[in-house]
Amino acid sequence: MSVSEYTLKGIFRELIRYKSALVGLAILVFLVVLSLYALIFTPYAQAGEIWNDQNRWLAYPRNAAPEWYNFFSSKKLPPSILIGEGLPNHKREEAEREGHRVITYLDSFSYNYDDFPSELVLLINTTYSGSPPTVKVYWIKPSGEELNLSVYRPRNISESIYISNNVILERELEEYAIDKLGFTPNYTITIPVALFMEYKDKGEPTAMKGNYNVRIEVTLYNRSDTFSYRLLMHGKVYGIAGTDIYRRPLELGLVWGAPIALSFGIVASVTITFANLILAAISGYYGGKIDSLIQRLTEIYMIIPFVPFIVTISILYGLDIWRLLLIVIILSVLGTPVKTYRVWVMQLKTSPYVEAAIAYGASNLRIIALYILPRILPPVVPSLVLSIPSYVFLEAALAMLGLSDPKVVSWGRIIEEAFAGGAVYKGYYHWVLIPSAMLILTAISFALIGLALDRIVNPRLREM
Amino acid sequence: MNLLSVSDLKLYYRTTKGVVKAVDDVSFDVNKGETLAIVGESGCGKSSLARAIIRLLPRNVHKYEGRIMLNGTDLMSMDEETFRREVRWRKISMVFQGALNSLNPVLKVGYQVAEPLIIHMKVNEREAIERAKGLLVKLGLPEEFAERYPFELSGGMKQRAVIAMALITNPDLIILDEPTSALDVITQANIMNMLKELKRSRGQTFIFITHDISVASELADKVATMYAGQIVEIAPADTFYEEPLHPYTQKLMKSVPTLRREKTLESIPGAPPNLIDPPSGCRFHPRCDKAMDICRKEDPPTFERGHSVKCWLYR
Amino acid sequence: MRIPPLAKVLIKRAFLLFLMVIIVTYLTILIANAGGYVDEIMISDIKFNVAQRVSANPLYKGLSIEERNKLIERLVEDEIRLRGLDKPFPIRSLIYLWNGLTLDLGRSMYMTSDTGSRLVRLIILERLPQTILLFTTATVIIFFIGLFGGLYLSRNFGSFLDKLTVYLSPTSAIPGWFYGILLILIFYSYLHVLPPGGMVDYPPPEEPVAYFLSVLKHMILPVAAWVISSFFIEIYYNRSFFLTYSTEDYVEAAKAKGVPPSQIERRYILRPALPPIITSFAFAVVLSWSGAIITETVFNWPGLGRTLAMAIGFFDVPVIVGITVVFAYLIAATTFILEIIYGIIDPRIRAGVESV
Repeated sequence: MSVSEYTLKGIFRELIRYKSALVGLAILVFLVVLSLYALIFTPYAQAGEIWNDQNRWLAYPRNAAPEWYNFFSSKKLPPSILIGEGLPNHKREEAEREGHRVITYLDSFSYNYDDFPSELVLLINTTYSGSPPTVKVYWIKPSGEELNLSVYRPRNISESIYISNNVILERELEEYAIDKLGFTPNYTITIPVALFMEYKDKGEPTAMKGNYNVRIEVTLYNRSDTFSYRLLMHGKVYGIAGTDIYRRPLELGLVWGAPIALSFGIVASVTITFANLILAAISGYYGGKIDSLIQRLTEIYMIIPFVPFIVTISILYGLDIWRLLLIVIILSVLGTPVKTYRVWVMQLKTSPYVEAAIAYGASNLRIIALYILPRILPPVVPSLVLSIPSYVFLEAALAMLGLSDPKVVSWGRIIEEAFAGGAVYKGYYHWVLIPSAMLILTAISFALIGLALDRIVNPRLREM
Repeated sequence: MNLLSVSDLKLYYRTTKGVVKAVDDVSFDVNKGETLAIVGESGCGKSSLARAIIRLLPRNVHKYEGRIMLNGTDLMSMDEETFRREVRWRKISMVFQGALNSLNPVLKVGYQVAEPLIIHMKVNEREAIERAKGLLVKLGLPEEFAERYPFELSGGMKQRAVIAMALITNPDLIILDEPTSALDVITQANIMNMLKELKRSRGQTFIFITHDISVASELADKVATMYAGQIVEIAPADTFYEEPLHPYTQKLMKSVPTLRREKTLESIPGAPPNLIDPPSGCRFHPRCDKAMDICRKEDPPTFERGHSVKCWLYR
Repeated sequence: MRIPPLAKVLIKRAFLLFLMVIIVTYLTILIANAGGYVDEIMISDIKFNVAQRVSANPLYKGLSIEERNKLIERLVEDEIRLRGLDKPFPIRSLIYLWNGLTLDLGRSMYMTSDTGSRLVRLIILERLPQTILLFTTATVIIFFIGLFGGLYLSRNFGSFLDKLTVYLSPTSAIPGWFYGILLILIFYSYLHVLPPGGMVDYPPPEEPVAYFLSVLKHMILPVAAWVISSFFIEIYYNRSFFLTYSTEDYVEAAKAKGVPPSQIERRYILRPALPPIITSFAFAVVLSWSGAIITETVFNWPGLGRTLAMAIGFFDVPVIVGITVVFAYLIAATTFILEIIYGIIDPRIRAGVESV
């Protein structure tokens, strides 16, 4: 293949004419915007810490699907519902009984979904001296039935009571439901199911739609005691990307993964390509012993098993992501491309204007930098762009092996966590598919751009 | 009867910039045993003409029409398979421009020379290679070269091999497209001598395409000048060199250096015309110092003034 | 005896490749031992052997535990001195190099082979055939799809299929193991028609044909994953190759000669194009060895790659180092085989001229 006559500017002007390249560029712009958003508007420096901190996410539902899932499903899944103090449809009445303050709260909400919330949590903030308050919870379904959700005595200033984990309550409600149904169904009656279910003769359980009311009676034993609460019903859908088993909203992971994917891929590809070019130029231009040396080194490099080496180094030396990138670059500095580029350099060396430059006494460095490298750069650009996806996937692959940097949140790492968390077996497809989609999007965007560039730079194929 | 009679041959092809009228209404005859030389500047359509005769059409062919009569048979009306079986190499063979790359690098030279025999004459391989060897020897190459690969031969040797390849089936007509352009002067002379010998001993009919008039003069009985896809003059060799009629031919003659005599060389002003959008009227008029009004407006027909010439001067 | 030039070239190459394996192995050892790991491997190996010998020897039966331990310590020190392992690092490293090259890779820390042995060499050799089986199958299939697909498209340039291939080639930016994940989700999690991993059903069928079919069934998804990944780009590259080669002058000359189209394709386009096709194929094969690790992990395929992944999980350094060395050998061997094929096809190499 001969050296192209295109300039970089000319190539980019041509590129715009290809529809596929425009699609690729559009995706790329989206990813760059996402990355900038991550870097500027989120606490990116602490991303890893935040992601690893399991206690941050208690307000989010577990294993929730993305909200748009409801578009495609006939069975509508509920989002998280929060009721209580400071929220609409909240009534409060205070009375005095037997010398104690008794506050009766009434919350109502409407529920029009087919499926059930995943958990019910009562979040209480209270201060007391002496006896802790007594909290009685009553649940009123649209049908008018009232269910007693037991009595609780919060001890800490801030307490989360997982009503749905109350085993005794669960059994009570189960018996109640079987009684109402008239038979024992073949599905499990959990607390959320019991609280929301329609009493159907057969088939899958569905929720009763309509207005629900929750009545909470709080008895405070001291004048100065305070009490406030909210009731959280964790939904089964959340946000754009859902949540994982640790309750983490995946949309955050997606945003944080974007700068990693882009920077890893682009930096790796650009650095390695330039290293290859420069070494090929030195090898091809100077010839002789330097050439032989570089050639032998290249052949050694080609025998090095790339992934096993990275794995070995990574595991023995515990690499963070930037040092990993450095190792990847070092291990790729020589390779097959060097052989190809070297041939081009040798062809160019005998071209008339290089000979003219030598004749008027230009230094070797100048010739390489100003004459040779700019000329072999255009045909190299397509493969530079096309190799970016492989580095993005390399990072993901290493994450899949468990070698990712724990301080970094990458899409590959999310997928690995999904696999480790059993997403494949438990059917949490979104946990795997959504970060996968981001990886695919990134790969395709660079591939579209790169392949269009390839068609531009190979004139023989264009003319035909 | 003529061996080859070409009438109103057209070959146009499509490019991103427009339709190239590479061969635009070309007519000529060649008699058996004759050598017709076709001369012209680069880009005038000579190679396209050769390809049009042997039906090597590019992928983007736009128009291919006219009549090519070989020994009374109309080649244009044949379908590709019949053409391949009966005409290719059996009646017409070709030596290509840049023949240095005409040989397949992974096949032995002897096999490639013998291949036409195997394909067209159903000769078995061993005998065909024997015959090929014989022919190579006759053309001045050692017999063992049949067992070599093309990369082991020099330019001149490859050219001889390619000529052997063109000869082996004894075709009625051989087209040579710039066969000596890439060779040094001495090898060139050797090849020309070889061609002259073939012409003499076998009575071989040649069409010889070249931009080098002096080379053409060694072999040609008739010379045709081609300009902008058209043939502007066809004359017997002596007349061509002594008294060319067409202004273009005259200029060509004046631009060739002679070995002994003092001569001021003249060049032809202007540049070769664009085959996509040729000049109106006579295509040579922008560069012709004898151009008249009518030359700008109308394309001249071919006049007979002892020989064919396509110029308004001879109305 | 006259050695044909091709053999001379190949012997030289074999020698050079082996030299490179030596260098790469040495590099591996340097890297691994920069943390002292290889020393540890060697010493624990010696300790194990000595302890075995002592407990098996009836002479030492009567010794108390203290005496026995002292004896073992002394024997271990003797052994270390005997093997030269108390020498400075450069000499030690050469000893390790020799061991590495002869695949004397010590004992693993936790992992065992199916036969219960902890010899790293056995662990590796047991798993090697499975990796070769899977990846050779996949690469051969991809090669032929690419070849014939590319050939077909170069003939029908500009056709709908041609444009489709060009538009779909970005799908190859996604590696095979990734498609593997998606395929598992579709064909196992959702459709339940194919197994999600492993090499053979459990319990494995006794009858050879049934066993063979079971393995085949388990090979479908991983092979399909790689075929899908390489499909469009292989065809695209081959097609570009063939297009370039079909515009060569000698192809036109062959057409003029009246060579039938099928022969032109075979002798004038395919044959000369084979060397660069084989080169790019060699590149792809070497690349696929690297991809083996993740693919085998995803599909739980009992090959070398998965073993490496497991060794990572166990932090079993001897196995990790051993597999790296074996991979270097594999790559060298693959390169060599392809150079043999290259040499057979390209007459210039047969004649003893080395390619650029």
